Amino acid sequence: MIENVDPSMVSWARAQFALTAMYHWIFVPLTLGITWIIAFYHTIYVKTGSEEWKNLTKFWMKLFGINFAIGVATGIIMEFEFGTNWSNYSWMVGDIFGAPLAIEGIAAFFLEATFFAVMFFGWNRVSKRFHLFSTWMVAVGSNLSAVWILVANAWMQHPVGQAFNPDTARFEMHNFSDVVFNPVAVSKFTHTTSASMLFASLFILSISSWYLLKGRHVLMAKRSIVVAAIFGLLASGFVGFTGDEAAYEDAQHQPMKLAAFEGLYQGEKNAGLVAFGLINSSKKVNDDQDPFHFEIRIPGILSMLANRKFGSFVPGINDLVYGNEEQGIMGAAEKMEKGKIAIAQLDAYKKFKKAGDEEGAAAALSIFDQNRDYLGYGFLNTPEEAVPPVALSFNAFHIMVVLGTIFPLVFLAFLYFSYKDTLQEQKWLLGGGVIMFFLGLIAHQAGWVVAEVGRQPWAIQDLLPVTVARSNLTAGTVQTTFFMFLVLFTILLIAEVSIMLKQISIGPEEN
Amino acid sequence: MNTFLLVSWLAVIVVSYQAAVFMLKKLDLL
Repeated sequence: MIENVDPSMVSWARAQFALTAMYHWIFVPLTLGITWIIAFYHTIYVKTGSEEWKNLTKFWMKLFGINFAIGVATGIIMEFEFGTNWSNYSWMVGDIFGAPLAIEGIAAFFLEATFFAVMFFGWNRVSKRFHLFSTWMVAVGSNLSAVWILVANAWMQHPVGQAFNPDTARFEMHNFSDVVFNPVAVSKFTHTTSASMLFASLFILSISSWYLLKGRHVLMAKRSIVVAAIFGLLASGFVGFTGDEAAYEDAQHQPMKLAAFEGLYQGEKNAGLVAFGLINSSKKVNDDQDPFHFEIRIPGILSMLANRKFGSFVPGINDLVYGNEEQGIMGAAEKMEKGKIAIAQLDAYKKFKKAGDEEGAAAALSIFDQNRDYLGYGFLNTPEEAVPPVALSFNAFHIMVVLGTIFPLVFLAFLYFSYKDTLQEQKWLLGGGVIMFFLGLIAHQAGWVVAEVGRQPWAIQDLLPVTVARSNLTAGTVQTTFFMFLVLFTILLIAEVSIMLKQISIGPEEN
Repeated sequence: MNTFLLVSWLAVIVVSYQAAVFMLKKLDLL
């Protein structure tokens, strides 16, 4: 089966999913974060009854509305791609993966969409309290949507609560609670949504900085900045905390991802974290090139990050590919042997079943069960295929971390000068503030790359490589839809940016 | 850890709102 895979089809299908996800990921984090800030503004309006706060709330609500519509459009296309380009994946894990997506659609998205209408059109039509309740429910609903999407994503990274049914060759859900409370899901949800809070705060900071530079809507901009900077500052701290938790989960369940984003080829005790480094992108796992052109490491920190213990051993890419007996690490080569046994025994089981040989089927199934944790490795051709793109993972991770360190300092600076009441005079800070939104966008996209490129070659960690998860399509078919989506998404993005810039230029209603 | 993370996440939202209102009042913006 695997010999017939058209690798370029898989590459194009991956590229198409990456394209859709990256466009989707421009709009969604803004939605997830800004709904909370709008709820804050709306609450202040209801408590004070001030028309200025009402106008401020309506302004940010309008920008959120423009963004929301395009986020939905790209999200729906992404879900369809599971069926079009990844139909083997959908067939094999649909019973598990489909459940959170369905709950997301039925419960969370409907909740969000219903109250979204009340939030937008409810001014002077419903009571102030119900209107405010609707705004909060939009925030709750959009973040609940994220819960279920991230539960589904986390299951791909750490497939718990499932069992493989040899009769249907499908993975089936055995414990819903394990799937929902998967530690990777909780860590992903808290990290992703708090990063979205930070991103939305940067969005408000950028636009408000521009108003202050232009001397327009000064009071509104100052008020918006204070709320966004405090929310962004607290969210930044929490992003760092949950990022540490995410790295710990990676070390426990996806050690190859951790080794890749740290460029760690040779595992070591008391492993250091690369604070700054230029990675050698031509380095291969089985050559003797130096992994870095230049690097500065902080000793011991990677061991602490990975295992919560200084001095502990952190496996490198070589250990995970070729094994390390001393540390009791089984290499991908040995896992491949076990995976191939699992595949052969599954085939034998089906043949015995078809022939009515129950004893033979039971014996084959018993051997399959002993090796099924390595099922996916049986589809790999070489142990080196288990290694994700190291340079891309490393660069994305370090860009995310560096930017994530800068943002709280920016929020602090804005709060300090707001406190001193000299913010409007700090042209350098306001100029920097305008570009913060774009830096936030880069950090967000980099985070997505770390999470999804770092788990390659797996669609489902250790169980299903992307080469098997794909649909039986030609590369040309996927190329055609790739370029169609590229054009469509770009038009949508241009439309969104144009409408948004126009609204920003108009600004909030004045009393 | 799961419970701690989720409660802390909620706390970020609640504390941010309270802190923002406090700061707005302190700066005479509310």
